[in-house]
Amino acid sequence: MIRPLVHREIRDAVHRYWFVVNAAVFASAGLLLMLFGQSDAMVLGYRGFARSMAGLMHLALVFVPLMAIIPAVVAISGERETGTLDYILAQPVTASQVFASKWLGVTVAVLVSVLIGLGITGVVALLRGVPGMLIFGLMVLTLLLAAAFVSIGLLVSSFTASRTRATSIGLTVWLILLGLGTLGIMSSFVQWGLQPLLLQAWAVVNPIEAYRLAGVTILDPGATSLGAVGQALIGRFGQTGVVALAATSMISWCVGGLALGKKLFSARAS
Amino acid sequence: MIRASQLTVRYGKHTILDAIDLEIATGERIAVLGANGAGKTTLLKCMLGLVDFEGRLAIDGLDVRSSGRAVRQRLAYVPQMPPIFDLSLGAFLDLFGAIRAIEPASVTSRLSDLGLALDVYGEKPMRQLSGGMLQKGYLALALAADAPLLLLDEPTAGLDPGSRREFIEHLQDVNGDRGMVLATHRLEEAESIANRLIILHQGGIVFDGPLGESNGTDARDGTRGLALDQVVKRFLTIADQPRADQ
Repeated sequence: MIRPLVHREIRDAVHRYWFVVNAAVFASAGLLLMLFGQSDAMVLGYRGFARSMAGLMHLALVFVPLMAIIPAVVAISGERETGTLDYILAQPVTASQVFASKWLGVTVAVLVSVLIGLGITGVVALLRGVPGMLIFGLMVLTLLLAAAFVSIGLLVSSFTASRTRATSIGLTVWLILLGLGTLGIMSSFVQWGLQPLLLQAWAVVNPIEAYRLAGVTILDPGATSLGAVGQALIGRFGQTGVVALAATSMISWCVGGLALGKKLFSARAS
Repeated sequence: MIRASQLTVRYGKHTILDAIDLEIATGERIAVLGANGAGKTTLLKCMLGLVDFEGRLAIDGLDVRSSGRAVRQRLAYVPQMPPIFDLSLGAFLDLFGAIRAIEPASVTSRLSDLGLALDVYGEKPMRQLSGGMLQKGYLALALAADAPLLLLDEPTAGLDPGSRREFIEHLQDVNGDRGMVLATHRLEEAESIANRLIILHQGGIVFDGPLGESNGTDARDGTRGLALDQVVKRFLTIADQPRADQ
């Protein structure tokens, strides 16, 4: 029952402009960084090849959440708005199956789009001597970030009645998580005298910060470019521990968003 | 068999269906009449498990809340305004045919009976089709589905008189074993298709009785032996008056 719905989601996504545009923009920007970045320089602690990859990572942490959350927020709300959702739910399927098919379809489409964009850049990086493990590590982290934002987007979509409202909420969530990075909220912590532990927790809980933390840790083993919060975390958990924590955070957003979204959708669908 | 007991639906402070008790036998053809907002669509949506309700509602002994999927397997639905998917007509029929495990040839044949050739219109995006064509696509799916009960929510709304007549003729030809619940506000449609009439007004059933040689019972005063024209008169009167219990 669920397979035709998943196929439809993937086919719909591939036929929509965002799939190709996202992959193309991401690949172009990544290629520019790879081809014109200073690959032999040692800046801000990154090794030469890692600097271009760090540029790519910073591009991804802004762009990938956006390319994941936008198609996700409209996936259900759009169908609710046009009335097609009611017809789907009038079939012998459960609300959970419909939600799962949405999640699977959008996740596969977004991940393929990210893989194409990142893959093209990765091949060029590989040809320019960047170690394969580094590229692979960054790719896995980027896919986790994308999957986390698909779940967040579908969570928003599960309770919103219109495309516009869902997009507004999705963009607000993206801006908040992007803007409230550790650097963004550090002054507030200083001003209010909050515990540094809270700042460290936030760096792990915020999926964009978790991605940055893990990415920089992989690319810059010296962690000189991580800042005080990241260094404190590495001091506490070690490099592997920090990467594992960050990955767990993104997986938790992915699973948590999926579970909560499914619950809200099922409650609203009946 | 549909059995509703104290079926109540509320949207915020508004009561859409108010403690309805209803029994529909297998194979019965029911027309649910009522003015706009009387609760016709909500009643059908309750049967499909699409709205939250109080009371009990079971179809073939299956509780709509706890066995929604199994209940919907027994129902085929034609919505009021055909929703437009971002698909071609062919892809739409393939998708929902696959969900309901309907043989593609069966849908094609039903569609052809309805005067719509899939080899001509199959590649056309749904947004480029007329309301009548879309409605035929939805009806073809419903007819091809292995569902003993058809739920038709004002299926001729938005059709021109010619298409409406054609649509009703197709419904009249539907296999007699299949039950039907037709929500409409057109009395002539009810008369053409149904053998029992239910009139909803302000969330309650104000009339429930057989059509044709009508000897129905007015739920408000227990009057029996109403002819169809009396039903019509009564319906039109009722539609403009507040209910006696309000």
